[in-house]
Amino acid sequence: MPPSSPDGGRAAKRVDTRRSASQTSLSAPPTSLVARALGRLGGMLLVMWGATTAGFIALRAIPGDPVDVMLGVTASVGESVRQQIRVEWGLDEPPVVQYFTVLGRLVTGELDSYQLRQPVMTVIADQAMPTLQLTGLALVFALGLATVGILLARLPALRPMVSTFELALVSSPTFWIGLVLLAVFGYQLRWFPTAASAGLPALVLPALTLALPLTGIVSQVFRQGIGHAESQPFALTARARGISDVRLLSRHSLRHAAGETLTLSGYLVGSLLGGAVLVETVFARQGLGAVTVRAILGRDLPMVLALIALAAAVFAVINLLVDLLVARIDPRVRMAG
Amino acid sequence: MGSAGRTVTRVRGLSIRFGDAVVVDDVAFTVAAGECLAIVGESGSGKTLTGRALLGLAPPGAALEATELTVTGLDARRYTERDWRRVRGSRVGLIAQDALVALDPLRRVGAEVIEAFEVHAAPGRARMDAAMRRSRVIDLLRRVAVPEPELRARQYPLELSGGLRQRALIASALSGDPVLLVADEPTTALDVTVQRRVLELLAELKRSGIGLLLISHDLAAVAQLADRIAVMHHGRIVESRPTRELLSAPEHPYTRMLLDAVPRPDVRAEAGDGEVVLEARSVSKRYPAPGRGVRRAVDGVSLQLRRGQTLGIVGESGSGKSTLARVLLALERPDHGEVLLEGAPWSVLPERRRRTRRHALQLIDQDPFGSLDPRFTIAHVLHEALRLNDTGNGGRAGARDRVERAGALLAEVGLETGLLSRRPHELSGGQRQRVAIARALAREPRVLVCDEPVSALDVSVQAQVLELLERLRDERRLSMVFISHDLAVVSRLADHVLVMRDGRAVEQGTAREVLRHPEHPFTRELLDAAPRLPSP
Repeated sequence: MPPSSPDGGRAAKRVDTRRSASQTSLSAPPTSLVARALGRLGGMLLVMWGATTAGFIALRAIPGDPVDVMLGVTASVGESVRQQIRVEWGLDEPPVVQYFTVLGRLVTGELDSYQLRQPVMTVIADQAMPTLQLTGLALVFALGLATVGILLARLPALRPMVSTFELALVSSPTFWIGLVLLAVFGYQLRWFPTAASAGLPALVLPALTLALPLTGIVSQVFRQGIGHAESQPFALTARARGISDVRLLSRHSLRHAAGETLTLSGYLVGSLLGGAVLVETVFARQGLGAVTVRAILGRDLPMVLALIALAAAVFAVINLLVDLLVARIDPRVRMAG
Repeated sequence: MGSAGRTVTRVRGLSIRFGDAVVVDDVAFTVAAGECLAIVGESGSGKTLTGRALLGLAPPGAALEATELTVTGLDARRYTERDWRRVRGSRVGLIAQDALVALDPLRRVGAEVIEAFEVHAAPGRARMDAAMRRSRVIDLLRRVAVPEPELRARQYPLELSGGLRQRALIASALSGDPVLLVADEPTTALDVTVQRRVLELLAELKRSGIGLLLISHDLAAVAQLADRIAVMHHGRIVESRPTRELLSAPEHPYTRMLLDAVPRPDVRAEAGDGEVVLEARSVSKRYPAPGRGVRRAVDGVSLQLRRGQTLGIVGESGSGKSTLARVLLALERPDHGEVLLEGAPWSVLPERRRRTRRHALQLIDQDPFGSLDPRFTIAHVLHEALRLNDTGNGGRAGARDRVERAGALLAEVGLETGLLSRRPHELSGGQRQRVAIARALAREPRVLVCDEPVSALDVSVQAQVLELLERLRDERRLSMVFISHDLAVVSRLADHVLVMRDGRAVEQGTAREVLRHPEHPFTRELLDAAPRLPSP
């Protein structure tokens, strides 16, 4: 039986000994940190492997001969030459052998594109920059515009307007937004170039096209998060201390909403990558999106698989960063982990 | 006692309306420095809104009127939001309802405690000295007797126990040196022993000259602290007098009703010995603790429950009561020991073989709102249970018959059959708990396991639900396991009492033995801490 004395703070202390266990796990790094990092890395590789395997199966399942597509519709080439191409690219091997060959080359970075006749790594490295610029600027636009929306919506009079605008943005297809922007700012007002693919001015319209639907989503989720935070009991306590609306937002509800919005990042990255395909096509820009479209149309298996692996890696890294950030923001997550 | 300090707030003719609904109706009261006024009433009586009016924090949509509303001598009737912000935290502090969630979970305790001070006490100063902030936080936490204030200030609210969180909340309300504290149900979510200490702390603050407006549904909880009590009913103050007078000679019938509803430790006549229906043989249940090691949630507990009897299980939060209930219900498999139902193996069986006997053992949970599907009508809830029972018994009673039986069940738990078409959110807390009981009865149980069945209810509703359980037990010869943190509630129903602490049964015996002659010091502490009305 536990010793007990009628000491004043006993019940509280008893509970505290239990709490202090979780307290140590919060401040001191747990010994299993390395193990957890390795686990995350393993999970990441597993995701990349699964995605590429699924891509391989999907591409193999499409009927037709990849050599036909490689040569083009109009090409009249004899069967012996075709066979030679097949042997050259290893397409005469059984699918399982092909799978492992492709996978092995993907890992060592020796995979060559059918279409472009150069290593996929080189293609990706060359084309990554335009896409990074595009998606990066789009992200800046999206977060900036969402912030404006969130701030405007603090005024009750403007709230219905902001919310309607959000809905319109979320509901509009990306390519349509792109065409409208091109028509208005490109052809009518001539503020931005319509055809150039270099320089900052040329980047504005594509980035905006990519950013607008995201703005709607981010702003919606963020405002919901703020609303949810401010309907919780702690917000009443905070207001009862005499704090201003600005302080309530900056010191309390913003952090809650940020945590909730961060979990959306996976979706955002997906939208940016998928959107890049559309936007680069609509604006005739270079980049990974355009490469992806060409690779799929040309049944360029190595290129597609490399892009899939890249996308999977990006998702995995983003999710890892989000988990770390959320844990940074929310002590409840830190302690549960 | 409130030796007439200067008046810190004076309210007359206060009314609060939502559209046509008058929620607070012509309320008047004063609070002086060093005095405690308690507003007591059921949920929905308007007491919380009345308290909020003193901080200008009535929810949006509320229309407020008053012939007088002065806070520290200033007329607050025409205050703008900006004016109120100067009052909140610096002249009037709020200890909001539900201490466990009233602090921002994402901020450190220190930051929460200092906030009001930052906003009010250091105007003009762009940045407060970090050292000065820290020392102020430590001072505040010391003032509310938080042990290890330096450590606590760096922790997050969820790292603190319920009692410490309530103290930190009080410290945060004191941070701007208010002259009036509005404390809304400051002890409700807390264990009895912790409750008593929080009340002691509030009494100390009162002695230091702070005016205290205490809001509660529980007369017993406020009786020791309040100098005067105002009883609120349907938005009106029906009786307002010095505490002693009000308790010894209540004038208004509603006050009398509230007083009668307060559970008193009272031992019921012992029932004869029936056969054992539920038995636990030194059961243990362990969980992995955070970090390394294990937590013994239940540690070698044995118990016997006989037909028609009630076994009360008492303990504080974290003592293992609910885990024990889950083990008895065979929702958790014990690591050691065994549970027998009606003399036959129970906990050792595979779930497939338990399923046909599950109806004999029904659970009444603390939160009927959580245990009733919000999309189901009450009829749907009861029909589901009835249908389950019909197929289980091999009988094939028709749907028409079920409608009738659902009505009969509602009548048995004291509800009108008109409620059958309603959904849970359209019912009051007490009605929902009655529905949960009716659903359990539909299965024709022999044992009811009640886990804190009245803790979420107002005192007056509590009394009615306890009465119902008592009647059902006697009429249906049910056996009951009754789990509660409240000894007074348990003592009303229980034949036997088991006191739990840290997973162990520290004391066990007939209710008479345990309550009249407690042997374990912890039982004695629980008994002492239970809020009690001063005997008239």
